[in-house]
Amino acid sequence: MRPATYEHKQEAEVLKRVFSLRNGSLQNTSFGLLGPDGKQRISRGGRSPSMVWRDKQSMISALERGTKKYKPHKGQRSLPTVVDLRLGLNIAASDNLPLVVLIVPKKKSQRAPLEEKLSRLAWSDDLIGGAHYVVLEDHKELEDMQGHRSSKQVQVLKPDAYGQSAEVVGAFDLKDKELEKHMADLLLAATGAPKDQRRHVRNGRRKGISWESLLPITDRLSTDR
Amino acid sequence: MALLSLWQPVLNAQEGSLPTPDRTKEAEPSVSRAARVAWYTSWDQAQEDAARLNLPILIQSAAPQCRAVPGMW
Repeated sequence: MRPATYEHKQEAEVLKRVFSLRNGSLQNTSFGLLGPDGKQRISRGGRSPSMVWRDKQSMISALERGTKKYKPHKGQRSLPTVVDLRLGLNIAASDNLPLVVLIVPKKKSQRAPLEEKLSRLAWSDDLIGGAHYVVLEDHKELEDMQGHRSSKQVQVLKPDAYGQSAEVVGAFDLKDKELEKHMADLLLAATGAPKDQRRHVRNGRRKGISWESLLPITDRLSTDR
Repeated sequence: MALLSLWQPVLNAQEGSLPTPDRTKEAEPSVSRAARVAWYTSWDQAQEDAARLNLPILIQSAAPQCRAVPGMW
């Protein structure tokens, strides 16, 4: 899993447990491998895999050794959702990926079957890793977006480069026919082009675009703004 | 080793940036699979699925901003 650092209090505590410096501060990036209980350590922690293993092959060997005792159980994975639209747009923009928004009432009996249906698409071989997902209760936050269709349950968004806004490139209902093909086409249309980091940051600063994280940034390597 | 197979693109990232969709291949109906890692972004969700499906958890956190500019890890 890849949590967004400095965006969730509880997750910050988990990340500090995975990796932190002697002063206990949360670092910009943290890496580690845990058991299914979320507590048992399978590897040391570090900023990234390269801090834990010397090369790719060492990592592969360690992962194979450390995980072989866990036989996967059968079952459907959850729809991997981002907590809200604002963060979802930023994360999707950072990955140059579409953001798929499911609009469904909060009531569990209505939400669960729709999330499960979308989850099956999200984890399918052709669509896996092709988008990020957010679930909203209504269309309010999408109303001003170009291309928004208020009658449809699922909106496929193409964020702008900074995740500040998005265009709706297509929408559908989960009962529509040929869902997988339709969604694949929309995801392709909503995938962004790779960005040059320096140019992106330079232009963002010129435009005055800035991200305010939920928690203070405590990594001294990241505080040079 | 179901979780492991999702990690291969992370290893590729050590050599440079992740592979990106090749827009020159107009005939290709989908993004290159080599570029894809499906990430959970919520700890609660990841932990729940991991416990239920008996899968280890690989965590790689990052801040979705570079020098306070969003849209870039």
